[in-house]
Amino acid sequence: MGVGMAVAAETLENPALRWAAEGPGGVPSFTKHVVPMFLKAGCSTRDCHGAFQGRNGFRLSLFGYDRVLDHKELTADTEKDEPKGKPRSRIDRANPDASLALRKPLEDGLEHEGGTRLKRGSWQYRMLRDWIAAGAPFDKATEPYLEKLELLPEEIRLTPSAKSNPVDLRVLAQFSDGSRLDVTALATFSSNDEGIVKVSKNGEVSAIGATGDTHLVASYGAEVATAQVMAADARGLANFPDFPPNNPVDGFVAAKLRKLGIQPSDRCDDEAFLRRAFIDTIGTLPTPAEAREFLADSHPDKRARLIDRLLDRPEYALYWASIWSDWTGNADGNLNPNIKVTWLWHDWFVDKFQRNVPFDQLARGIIVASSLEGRSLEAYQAENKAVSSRINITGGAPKSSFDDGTYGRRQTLDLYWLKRDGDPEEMAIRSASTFLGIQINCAQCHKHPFDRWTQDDFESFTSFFRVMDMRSIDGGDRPNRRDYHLVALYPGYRRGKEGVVKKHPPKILGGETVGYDPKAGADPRERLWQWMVDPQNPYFARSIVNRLWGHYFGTGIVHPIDDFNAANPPSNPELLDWLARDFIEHQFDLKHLHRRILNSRTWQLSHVPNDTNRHDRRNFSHAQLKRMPAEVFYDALLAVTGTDQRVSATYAPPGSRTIGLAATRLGSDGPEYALRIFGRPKREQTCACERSSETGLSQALFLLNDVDVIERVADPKGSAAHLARRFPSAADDAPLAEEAYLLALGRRPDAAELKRVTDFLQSSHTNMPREEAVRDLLWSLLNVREFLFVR
Amino acid sequence: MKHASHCRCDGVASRRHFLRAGTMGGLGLSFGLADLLRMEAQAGVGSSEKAAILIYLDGGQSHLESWDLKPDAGATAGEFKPIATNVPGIQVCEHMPHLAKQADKYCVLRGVKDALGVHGVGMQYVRTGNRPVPSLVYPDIGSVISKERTSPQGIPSFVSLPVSRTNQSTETPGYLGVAFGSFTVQEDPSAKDFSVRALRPPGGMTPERLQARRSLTEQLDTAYRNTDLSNDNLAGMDRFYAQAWDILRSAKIREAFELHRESAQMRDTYGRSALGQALLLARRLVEAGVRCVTLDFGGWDTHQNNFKMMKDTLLPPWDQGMAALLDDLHQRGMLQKTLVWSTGEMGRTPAINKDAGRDHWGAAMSMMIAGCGIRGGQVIGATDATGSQVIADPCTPADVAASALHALGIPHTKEYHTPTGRPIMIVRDGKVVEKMFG
Repeated sequence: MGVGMAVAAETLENPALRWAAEGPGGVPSFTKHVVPMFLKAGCSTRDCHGAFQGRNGFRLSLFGYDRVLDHKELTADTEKDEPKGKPRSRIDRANPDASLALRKPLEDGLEHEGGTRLKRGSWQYRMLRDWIAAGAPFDKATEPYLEKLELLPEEIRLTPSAKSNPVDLRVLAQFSDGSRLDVTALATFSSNDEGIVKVSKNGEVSAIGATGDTHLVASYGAEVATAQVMAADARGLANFPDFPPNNPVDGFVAAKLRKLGIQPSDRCDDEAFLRRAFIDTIGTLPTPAEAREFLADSHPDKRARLIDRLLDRPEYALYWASIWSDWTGNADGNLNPNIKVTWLWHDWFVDKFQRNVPFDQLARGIIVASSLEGRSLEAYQAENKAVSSRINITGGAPKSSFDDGTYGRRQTLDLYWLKRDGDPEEMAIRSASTFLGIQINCAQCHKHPFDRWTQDDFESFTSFFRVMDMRSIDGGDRPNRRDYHLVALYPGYRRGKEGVVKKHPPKILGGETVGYDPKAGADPRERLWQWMVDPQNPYFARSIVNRLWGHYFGTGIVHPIDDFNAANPPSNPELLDWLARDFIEHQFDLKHLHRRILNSRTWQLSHVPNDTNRHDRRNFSHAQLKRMPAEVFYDALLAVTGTDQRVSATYAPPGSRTIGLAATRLGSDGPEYALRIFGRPKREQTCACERSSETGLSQALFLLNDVDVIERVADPKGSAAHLARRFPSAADDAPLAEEAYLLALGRRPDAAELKRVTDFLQSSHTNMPREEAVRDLLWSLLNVREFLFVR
Repeated sequence: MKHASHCRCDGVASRRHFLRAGTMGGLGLSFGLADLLRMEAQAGVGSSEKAAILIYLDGGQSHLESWDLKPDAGATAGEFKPIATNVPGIQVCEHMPHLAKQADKYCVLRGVKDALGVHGVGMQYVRTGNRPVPSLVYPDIGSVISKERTSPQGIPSFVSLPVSRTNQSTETPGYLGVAFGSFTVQEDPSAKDFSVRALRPPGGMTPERLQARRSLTEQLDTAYRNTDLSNDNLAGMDRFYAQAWDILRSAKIREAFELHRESAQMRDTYGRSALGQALLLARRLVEAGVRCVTLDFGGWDTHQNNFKMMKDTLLPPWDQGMAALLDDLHQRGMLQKTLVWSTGEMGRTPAINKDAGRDHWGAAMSMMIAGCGIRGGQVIGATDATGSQVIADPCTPADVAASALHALGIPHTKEYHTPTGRPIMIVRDGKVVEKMFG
């Protein structure tokens, strides 16, 4: 957003006028005019000459990000002169109209697979012709580059019901030579939600009729700029309800809702709050006793106090260690050396969350990881050997107890760097995604289409991950990959990467070159980390704030949560900025951040929509029903049925919770099947989208009929048997119904539900044993959709 | 591809961007349960017997080593020779001996152009018939078929067999909502003890008991009934429960998955590979009333060792299985009402790289399509001497999608509505390739 260039009264040069028939014309700039024109005409897109191999022998860089290449392609003698076979260039300076670069897009006596892209007599034609006639000038050294692109107005308010919404879009470009142009005619436009607003290629805007907000995106050359579009709901603008803030979060949310005429739903009831708070924060259902206690509590601060208690529970660390295992790629398929090491990785996070280690320090433990951590080699070896023995690393079945927390207490997570297939590119992509929320993988092959990252940025950033090597510490030449305790991370060029580090020395994204000298002993990763956690870093704090927000609301302020880019702006930038600032001011205190979000009125809104907010998905006007995540669902199944995890299948210590499972490869006789069909990720992709939160037919079949569910419901040591003993007679039907509801849904049945359940129990007295009837009841409660969804 | 990171590199935002964001989140609503039940109640209206088996060759099958060999192209010719087929004048790769004997049954498209030349969005284009755009997620053709063609009660209309799904090939019901997603079977049909866990018969439960449970559950599932929550997942789950109950009461779908009911000889004919058995399973499913079966058979991204991989691992199971399927459908009189379409997401470069591989190529590719009134024994389209450009009868993936739907009796120009009321054609920019049906 930033400070806009004042434009209202200013007339900037407009190429469409300059090269109009009556315009002054002149020599166009390759960067400012010619390259963007090729993009607008569709020439430098991926399916035309922007493809890696070009098209019909002619290649342009994708979106025109590489001006040197483009100029060379246009001017080098690469074309064969048809009759004589003499090499010639695509432009003819002496006779511009004979240039292939003009004749092809004009289809002037030549066939062009891409059709007619240029009209004779148009300003574009004059512009390109003038450039060729001037000798096709381009000087790499002096050519200006684009400094800033803006799409104005920055905020567009539409009247959804109106047929026409005259909006005068303008795209302004500021260059390094101080010049500023109105490049509207050279820009292309798109809408991020055509359900709200459409925009033609040339910038004519039309409302669709739906209310809500989105962004328009303008592309000019290889850059993009966005403008926010708001189509307010007239019904909601009037009589906007009172929205007393719990904390500043609510002020930012309400401000946006007010503009859009989207009215927030009511505050959720205590039952909804209780179950939501338990599931979202610690991945656990409340027990009937916990539910009773909370519902009976009349203290005005009871919600805040519950939040505090939840964040102090061991399940908090357990659950968030699993979430961070997703985000950091803790996958045994890839891990050196085997499946049980995933527990060490997981334990490391458990320790950090238990102790509420500040997030900047946690990041340091990953980014600047070391194996020795200052210890002697002997001490390191001894400790690792003990850890390996405790987790029975080379043996088959896990021992009764795993690691005693030795690895978890380490300052750094060297396993992040010791992954078998953790090549530096993968680590760079993963680290940028996890800690900065940006997808630099695009730049692995070409410039990022929606951001400034180039291939050089990618390579030099990746070099930070090429200055540590995996080495054998038992005297062997290559690391022994079976024996975890014989491997350590050492400073030095990663095997085979010396050349590329020298060519692309470590460089901060968009910042200075740090470089690497193996003899100097300085660890360039330190500088990378300092840059990341600097309060001025635009990504680090915003990324984690957004990840947590996305977890709690189902939708990030930037969404998807790992895709910050210029074309995907935050839905509420003020909110995101404030949360990030507040997080930094509180010394990267994660629990503080959780509390900020959880204590807001916004997070405590009801899921019941009103007519103005029913379709809202990005402004947090009401709670979205979320399907329970796979592991949470499975634990809830265990809790409701009162049955235990089958440990042998999980490589987990006895009593382990599914929310704390570290391994991703599981034996087939445990929760593996359920976790798979409910969308637990394999942690193989660097993408938050790897976890599925959708529903499917297999899930319904599982809940209705899978042997895992049927057997657990019928377990003679489980809840059904227990409840049947506790509530044996017809006189106990109502308390039984209440207990079952609290167990599965965290609330008491309402009068109608109570009647249905007691009617059912009544009818069962004569024809089945009590325990059978309880099984039917529990099974039914597992199969109402309220069980599977968090409201 | 070693590192399966998710990339929106192509200037086309990926579908996942929009799956959970924006106003599109509430899409399930416009095709809610009530509509579905009504649709299903209107027996006959959407119950044409036509069905589709769609085979996706994730990674991008080389057209130059399958349907469109260029033995005279010199340096780019590659290592394989063409062989004659049972249709004079049509030649295919020497490593497709089984398909060579079935050429009278299928149509080869050698003039497919404008594929996107990248995996994720490229396959999305082929699977949906629409070039991906940032603002809307289009549904897979399987989901469209599932919406248009109701299956008999107790039979899912859309089954997916992701034998080996690679290269960011994903399936999505897009704006139709999760209710039209596939029933996905992960189990390997070539495994000795193959059975589908989700379909195992209810253990020790009498039908009366199940019915009693169902009745209680339906009485208690009231929390989200009375308010329009506009939640796709929730509405989808309602639909899945209804389907699941039907499936539990019917043995038909379970039996369709029982491959052991086929003779050993039939199973051998398809080949004992995962793909071969999945294709046999697809035939059984269609017989049982499934309207669309999709299979993914990935690994065709042959940047290295193109020839060795094609010859040793990729072509043989595909050749054998596809040929068996076509012949089997023909013998059973099912080919005239079953569409069979085999396609990758792109062609591969005529230039052979230093690793004896071929890279991505969107300008020209080949597909095979058969059944449902498509005339077999013909080739439509042609490429130039090296297989780099289409020089005759060009068509696009969108055109082929339009034609496939046409063959199934579904007009591709039919308009659906998104929840915000936006009308949208099933295939936006496709034309039916008339020659297929001539």
